[in-house]
Amino acid sequence: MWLYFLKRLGLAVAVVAIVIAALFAMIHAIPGDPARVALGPRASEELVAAFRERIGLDQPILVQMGNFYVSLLRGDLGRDAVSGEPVLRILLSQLPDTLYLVLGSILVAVVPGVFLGTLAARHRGSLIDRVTSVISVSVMSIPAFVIAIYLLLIFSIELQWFPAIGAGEGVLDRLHRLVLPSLALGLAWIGYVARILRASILEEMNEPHVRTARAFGLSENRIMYDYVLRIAILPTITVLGIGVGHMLSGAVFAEIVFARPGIGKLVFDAIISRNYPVVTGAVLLTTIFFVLVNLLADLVIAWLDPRVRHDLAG
Amino acid sequence: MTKTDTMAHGMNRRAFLGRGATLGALAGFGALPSGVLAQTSAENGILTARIYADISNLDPAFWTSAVDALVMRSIYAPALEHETGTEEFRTRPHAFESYEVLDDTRIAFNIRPDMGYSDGYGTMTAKDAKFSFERIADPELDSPYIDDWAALDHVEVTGELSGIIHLKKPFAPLFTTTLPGISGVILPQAAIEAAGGRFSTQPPCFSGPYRIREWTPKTRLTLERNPAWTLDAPEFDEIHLVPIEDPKTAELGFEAGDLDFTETGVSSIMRYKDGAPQGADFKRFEGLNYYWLGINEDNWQLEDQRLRRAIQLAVDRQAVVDAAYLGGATPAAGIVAPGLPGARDVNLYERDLDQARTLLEEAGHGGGFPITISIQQTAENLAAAQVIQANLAEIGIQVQINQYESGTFWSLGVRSEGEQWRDLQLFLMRFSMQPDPSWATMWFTPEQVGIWNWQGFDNAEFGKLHVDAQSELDSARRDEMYVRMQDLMEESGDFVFLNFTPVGALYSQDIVPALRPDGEPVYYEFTRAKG
Repeated sequence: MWLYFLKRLGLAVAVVAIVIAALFAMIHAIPGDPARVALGPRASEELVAAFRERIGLDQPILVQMGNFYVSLLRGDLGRDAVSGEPVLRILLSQLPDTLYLVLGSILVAVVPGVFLGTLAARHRGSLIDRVTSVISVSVMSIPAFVIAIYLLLIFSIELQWFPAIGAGEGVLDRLHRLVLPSLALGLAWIGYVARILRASILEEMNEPHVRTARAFGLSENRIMYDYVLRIAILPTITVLGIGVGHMLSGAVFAEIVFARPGIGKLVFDAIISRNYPVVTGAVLLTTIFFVLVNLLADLVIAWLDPRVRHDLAG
Repeated sequence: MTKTDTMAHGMNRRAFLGRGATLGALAGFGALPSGVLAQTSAENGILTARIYADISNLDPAFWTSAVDALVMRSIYAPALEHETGTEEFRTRPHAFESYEVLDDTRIAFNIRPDMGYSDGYGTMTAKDAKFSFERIADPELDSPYIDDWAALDHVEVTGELSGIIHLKKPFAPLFTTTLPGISGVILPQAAIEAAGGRFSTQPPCFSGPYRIREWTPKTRLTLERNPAWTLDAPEFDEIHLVPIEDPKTAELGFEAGDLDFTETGVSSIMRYKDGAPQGADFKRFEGLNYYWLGINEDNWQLEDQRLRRAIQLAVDRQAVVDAAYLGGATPAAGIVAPGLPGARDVNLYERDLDQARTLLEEAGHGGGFPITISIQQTAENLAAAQVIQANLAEIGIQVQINQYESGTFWSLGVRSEGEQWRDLQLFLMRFSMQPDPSWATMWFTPEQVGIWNWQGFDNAEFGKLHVDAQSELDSARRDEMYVRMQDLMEESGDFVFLNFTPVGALYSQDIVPALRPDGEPVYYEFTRAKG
């Protein structure tokens, strides 16, 4: 198990290094200059040149990348090209709101998704199955930004139940303001979770150990929750691990539409202003987060599935 | 801030669902109906307003955006300030109690007594004015705003609160944009030195009606009353400034009651003009920012002035502006907004397709030719570009629209960025502006070719006029000079002036906003509505 963990960790480091290298190549391949943004339109060419030299933009890309890796080993992600603030401090100030949003979205996806998936599988071919199927496909097919606008119009403006913008202060206010963005981001995933779980449950129901359990006279509820769901949930966990990546990407639109702070909007703004240190730092952070979440998903699967545990031990 | 009572929701389920669906569908087409939604108020002494971006630098010598300037107007005291609620730009003393123009190059001033600084830096003196003005003028500092004080020789301190500004030559923008602008902000030398000579987002002290209580990047900037401010106390205890880039999001936030004031998107101006939401008011302003079609005369295909003139003659300004601003703006006759010295009444070249075709024939392009128009990705730009595409198709010119995100777009004509400027042909641009015509013309001088002057417009007479007009104190003569400069721009064939960007201000009826003639808010002057 530990060897498996160390292998995965090594793979994660390689992924992060490759992502950063690709990012450096990409952001330097596109035109644009952070100096103009940082100094304003009235800055002279001499000022712009001095600024570029000061933040190292006059160096070859490979040198810049090397400098970044060296700084990274010291725990230094550099400074914001515009404000001069340490990038790490900026990222840490924005990260919690993005994490709350992603966690809220996962909650939105998992709770109804598992319920609907289980319900549909248990009533396979019935009206309930067809209705849940329609619901699942419907929420998957509506674009998230359309859902976001409808949620805002109905629940913020029309009913005034939820605030339209901002992340709030204090636990209750934050939770209150998290509801609509989480719904907007997580709603489509209800469908994915429900469909995948339904298929997994139906497949698992035909496994010999389930037939054996039935032969022993165990109740359907016990078979479902103690034997079937435990295994059938595994593909859903894998998909959710990948889904976190999608949700991190989707956070950009949710943070813009709901005017929330967060990593997504930070990266978007930084790309527009060619604020390379912030872009690089933010992508590094989200890559690490994504890799760790997937590692965690694999470990959870290993913990839940004795067959996987056995394979790893072997 | 809490919400006031909302409108009664006595509708049944079917009516509600129907209306929600209608609202959503309309929102999808950018046509959300107004006049149906409850509005909230500025309560508990807090004013909540939108800023279109976060602050980036609050040093008067190094600020970078209009948002920085907007915030600085409330936390610092410049020598003069622009009045609010007026039709035309007027200034009045602010940190200066009075000033007297002794002659063309000497201005005597008196600082208000008891203008306090926060953080124990005492009160404002004439020495502080000398330090602050000369600091920006100092080439050693490398301030991008050095030109605001380019004419400054020195500031003579004649007393604790009095001094004389000595100029090397007359400088007309001194009273229109330098002293009432951020370059007119006065701060104590000790505070700046304590900050290491310059600072960014953490000012070492405040001299205005408010000070920064808390800044959470990308989330909120909270201003609170500055205890050191001894003049009339501002009405609101706190001002919460929320960075919201997207104007549509801000409009939704306003209609949900989360904001007391917001600038609207230009495409929403006509909708709100027809009816603001219940409990809200809306005002439209003619902004100063100017929008034009640029034509790169250094592009190999556009070197012949006849071709550029044909393009000028083919563009239907009214149709372009109607498409881009949905009827919310009127065509412009230059880059200097009405009300400022040098504003033109008419363009030299109006739409004339026959003449345009003749010119194309003469230039050997009777059958037309393909060309590109480069735009920044916005709905307004795309609509404008599509109309221009249709206009030019009428004379046989096939236009391809190239859309770019802002970072790439703003590098297209910069010659130090590579060779891509050579391929630039037509482009739509909008520049921001301050209430002095020199701010409009400064970008089109020969020195600016390849920096902000992407047209390659290289006219020595224009460059000389720009310099001379800054020293011209006779307003009639100055007016003529700026008119002439815009004539030169248009005669070159490099410009099609489109419009001045309108500004929409949407605000709760519970507040009285203080807005400059261009719609720019001055937050510290906002008050509650009486009754």
